[in-house]
Amino acid sequence: MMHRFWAILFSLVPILGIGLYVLAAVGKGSFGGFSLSGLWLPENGNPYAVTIDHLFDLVHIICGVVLGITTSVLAYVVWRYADHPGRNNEAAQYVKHNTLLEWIWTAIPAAILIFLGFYQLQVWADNKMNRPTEMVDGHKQAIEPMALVVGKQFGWEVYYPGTDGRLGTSDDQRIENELTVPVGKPVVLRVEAQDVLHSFSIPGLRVKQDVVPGMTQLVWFQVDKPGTYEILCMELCGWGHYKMRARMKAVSTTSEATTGTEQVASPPSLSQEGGEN
Amino acid sequence: MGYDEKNCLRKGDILLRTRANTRSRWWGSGGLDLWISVKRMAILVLLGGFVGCTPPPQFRENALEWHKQARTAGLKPGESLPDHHRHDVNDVVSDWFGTPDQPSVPLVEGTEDPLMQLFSPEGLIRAAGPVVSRDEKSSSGLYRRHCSHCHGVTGDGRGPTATFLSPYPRDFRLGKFKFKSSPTGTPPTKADLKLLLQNGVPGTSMPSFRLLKDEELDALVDYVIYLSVRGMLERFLIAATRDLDEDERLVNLPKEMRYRDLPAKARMEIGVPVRSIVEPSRSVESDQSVTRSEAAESPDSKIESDEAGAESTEPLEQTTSTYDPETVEEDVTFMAEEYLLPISEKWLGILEFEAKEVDVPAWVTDRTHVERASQLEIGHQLYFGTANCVQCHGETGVGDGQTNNFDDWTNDWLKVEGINPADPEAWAEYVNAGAHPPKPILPRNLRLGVYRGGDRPIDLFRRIQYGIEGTPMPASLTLTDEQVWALVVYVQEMPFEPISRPATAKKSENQRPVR
Ligand SMILES: [Cu+2]
Repeated sequence: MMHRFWAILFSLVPILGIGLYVLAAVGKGSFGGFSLSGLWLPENGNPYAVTIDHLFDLVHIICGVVLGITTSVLAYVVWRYADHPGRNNEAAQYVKHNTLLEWIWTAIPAAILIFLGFYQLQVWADNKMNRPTEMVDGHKQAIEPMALVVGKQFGWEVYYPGTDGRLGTSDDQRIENELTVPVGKPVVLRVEAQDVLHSFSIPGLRVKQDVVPGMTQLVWFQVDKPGTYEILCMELCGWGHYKMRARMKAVSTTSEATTGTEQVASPPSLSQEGGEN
Repeated sequence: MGYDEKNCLRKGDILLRTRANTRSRWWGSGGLDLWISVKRMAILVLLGGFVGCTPPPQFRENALEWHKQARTAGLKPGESLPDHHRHDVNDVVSDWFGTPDQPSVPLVEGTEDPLMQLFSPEGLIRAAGPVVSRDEKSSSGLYRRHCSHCHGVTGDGRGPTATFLSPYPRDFRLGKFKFKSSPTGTPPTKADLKLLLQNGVPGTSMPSFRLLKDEELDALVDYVIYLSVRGMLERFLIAATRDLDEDERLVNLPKEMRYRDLPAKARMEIGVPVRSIVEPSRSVESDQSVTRSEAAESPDSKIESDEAGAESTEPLEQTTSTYDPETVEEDVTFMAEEYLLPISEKWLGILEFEAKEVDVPAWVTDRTHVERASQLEIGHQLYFGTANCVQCHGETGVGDGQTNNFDDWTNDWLKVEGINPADPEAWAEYVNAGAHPPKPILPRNLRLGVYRGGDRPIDLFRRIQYGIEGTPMPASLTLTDEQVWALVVYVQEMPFEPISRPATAKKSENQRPVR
């Protein structure tokens, strides 16, 4: 049986690997109370990122097909040519070069790569370059960041503009590890790093942005459903990297008259004595 | 449950032998053999992991304080105070406060002891003990999970990561805390400690624990107070032994006899009753009435560095009859009243403490207020004048004034013999005893806008009015509230003055104007 061992092992990769993957994606499978859907990304709550999910799925399907084909071929070859009783002791042949094969396995990945490169251009632009706009006095204007998020070893500081509505002044309000944003409208955040490289990420909104000390980045998204989202650091930044978790609360703005950001810019815990009771 | 030394040794032995036996196979060519040995290793590793072959952690005795008191008593380096003193202190402290896995609380005033108000049993259960999380709703061992790697199991600020941090993590055993709403000399309120856990201490390695549940934070606050009370008592008792005569002891027992060797019943009757805090499922008896901790009976309860454990396991029938219960009772009661009660009274005072009501002037919160400019100028004058902030924080406010001070946690031993902090050989013996190498405490750079005790106006107000406990930052007793607020405004504005702002960082591409 030993001579079939590697063939079985290799065939398990496409069978189990891709199977698990598909089960996790459709969120149906579970093993002894352990739900496979927990392995998958959380549900996307950001309309800007629908296209990101689409790209994500597309890349995974392409990779899955390639993985399936290559490992199946590998498993078949190992099975077919394994040393087993009944097989004549033929000497192995050494095949040195095959120009056609070389062409195929260079051209196909290259074509896929070029296709993906062009196919994602708009998604990149929408999520990283074309900041959402709003109409101000009849002019189209890029939305200003409603808060500043600073990554540091180990946590996230959130600054809201104070009464003057501007960031970077002495009445800014700081809160550690908690960001509150309004639902149903585009949110722009300024993201910075205080000490080392971090990566600001909200998996539930498919937002991810590396932050480098000395640089300022803007991220934007929209949350459609009120709720709590997790903010994580996705760049190994030191011994306490695992502690870099924060909470984002998406709240609906009750009164339409106020601009929303002002409503949520002062979470209750920031009021004068609020946190102390 | 618990640690079984014999069992663990045997298992380790098997693991080693198995490894040796299979070693030749690792290099063999057979895939199946490899598979078998991998499987065997995996099973052994899993087994070892489940049973948990590590002894339960113990509170570490305050070796630094012992060393300090020995030097104060005029002993030479290498000499130490008599062992029986150490035994007495360790025995009494661990009898009263239990172990990290099984904390207990001494009830000096009976079951209604006010000390129980300081730390709720539920809180101590959740915060103490090994890290366990059965499901999302209940998790215990919070302190060891979140705090001990810096603050240490004992709360001595000497966890494994502590040496690498600047500033060093807080040592709770002095009972001093920096950032609080109560005046100098009083402990912080529970709300102060909780707020600090939620916000972290910006500019230090203390992160924010805002994502913990409310009751988890409360539990941690209770446990920090518990560790602080325990550590303060230990320090007081150590200091007390220094002044004892040669043949005197804290607990006057016959020579060679230790307090912990007294039968539990005797300690119960003549000592201070102890309420043992044990998780219901871990407890031997289900009711949590006033009982001696089971742990106190087992050899586990001895203090880690106590090498005299072996003798205590010998039968003691012949010695138990030779002590005088009345003297022991007198001594124990004296210790409780003289050393423990003042500590608990100090902490209990904060339960009723209410922070002074202060009205925040409108010009503090509103940058556009008409009065702000004039108040800013008043603050500026105070900084250089009456309030004398300039002495430490420097003329430019970058904290380059007086920079050769040390905090109370360092001065506590540094000042004893007038050790020169610049001479590593002078303090080497203290570092060996557990001190961190002394680092001067630097005045805050006020141009960064990073405020350790919080950056709300009221936080800055309290830092200036009450000072910062344990540091050279004094309370400003002579300033009026209005003057303090003017200083707050000046301090608030400093980071935003043009001189404080570095050249604006290069803008990244996603900030370009929209077409
Ligand atoms: Cu990070």
